[in-house]
Amino acid sequence: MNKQQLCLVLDQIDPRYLDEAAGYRGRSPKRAARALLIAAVILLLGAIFSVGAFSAFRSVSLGYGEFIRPGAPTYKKHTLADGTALNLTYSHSTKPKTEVAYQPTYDVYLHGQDEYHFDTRGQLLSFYNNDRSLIFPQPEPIQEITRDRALEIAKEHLEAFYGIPPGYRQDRCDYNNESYFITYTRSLGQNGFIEGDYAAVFIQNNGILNGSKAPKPDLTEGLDLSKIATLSPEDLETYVKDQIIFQYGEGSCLACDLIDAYLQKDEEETVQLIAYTYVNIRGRVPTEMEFIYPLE
Amino acid sequence: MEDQKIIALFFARSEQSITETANKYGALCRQVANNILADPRDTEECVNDAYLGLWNSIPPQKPRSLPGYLCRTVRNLALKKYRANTAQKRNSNFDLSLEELENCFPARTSVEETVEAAELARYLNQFLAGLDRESRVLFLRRYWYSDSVRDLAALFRTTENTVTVRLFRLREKLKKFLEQKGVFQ
Repeated sequence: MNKQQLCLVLDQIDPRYLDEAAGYRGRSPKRAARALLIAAVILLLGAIFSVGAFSAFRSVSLGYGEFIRPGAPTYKKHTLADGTALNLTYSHSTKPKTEVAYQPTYDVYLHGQDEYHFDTRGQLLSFYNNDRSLIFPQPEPIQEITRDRALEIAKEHLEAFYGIPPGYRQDRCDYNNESYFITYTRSLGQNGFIEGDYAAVFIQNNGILNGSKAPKPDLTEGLDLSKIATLSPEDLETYVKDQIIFQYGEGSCLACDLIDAYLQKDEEETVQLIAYTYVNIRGRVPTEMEFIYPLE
Repeated sequence: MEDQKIIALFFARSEQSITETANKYGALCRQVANNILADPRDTEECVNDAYLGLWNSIPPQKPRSLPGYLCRTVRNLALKKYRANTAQKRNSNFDLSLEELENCFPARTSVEETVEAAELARYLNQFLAGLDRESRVLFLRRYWYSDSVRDLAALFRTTENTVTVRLFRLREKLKKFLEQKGVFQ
């Protein structure tokens, strides 16, 4: 049908609908309120989970059976072997390594001066006073584990926590009378711990691998980086979920959205959805420290 | 001023009617015309012609909906001008929006199509009636008012990507709807 014929059809659209469209002034306050309500519920649920059963997954172990949660600093007293009492400030901040993947940092300060170091696994390494002498405590030895054992632990945890074995997970999605298989691949780092949860996502149709690679650094594309850089992991998760809910509505099919974006060669959209998936799972990934724990 | 009062001014042959119409619907008219013509001078001319058209047609016409009547007048004038202006030139929003929609309707070689167009329009109205309000507005703002995806994203307070995806789904839905009605057979 050519444009002229099409115009002929369009000219006969019911004028009531044209009026409705002409008078449309954006989303209604009711709808906006609903979206806000959804966001509030998500925040509330997040708050509940943060103090509930899942709190351990979001906390950092100090290596002494104590946990601190991200956010406000925690003040604790510690008594040295010689009886000296120290007031320590523990702060668990999350600094963006990339804007999406987070590099947790575990910093503990003795008031005003000294340094207290943890390694990347959250194990306490050393505590120096202001003249750089090591005063507290003797570092606990980092438990040595073999690479194979580390991999084994990682697999156990991944399967136990969200049923996705390292390697890949495949979702089937029927869309437009065709079956698509969305394959998420998960890589494990050198030491057996998670480095990038979703290194790649492939969309496969009828056995033909079309391929849509999204290396981890690309996950930052399509998101509001300046905003993300200021968010904690929990807030980030909420933010991205909110974005999805606002944009796609509740109960929308993530896989369908992904296919849509992919079919339209909309890389930004595809990457954004992959990033959402990534963050969604990332929010539940146990910290590296927690992989160590079963050994103790 | 309420639409009924403006129409009353037209009936009273008061030039104030044009001023009030321009105040209330001038921006909308310019948008409709500019989406098709993409030229400020042509747009202005077209909108002024539409006001004149209103002046000449009301009375005897008494439109049930002033904006609908006005927009239709503007659009028809803009299309006329567009056809006169551009033999082969490809215009942005208007062409793009129609090209998106073209594949939803069956190709026709001969055009005894006025009747067919009426039939298709009936189906299209049925399709629109079955949509939720927001989807219907989105569809019409894109394919009747020829709004750009960017403008629609601003209107719906969402991203351009989302608008594109929604429009894609709406077109697919329309195509399926027309297939069910046997239009493509």
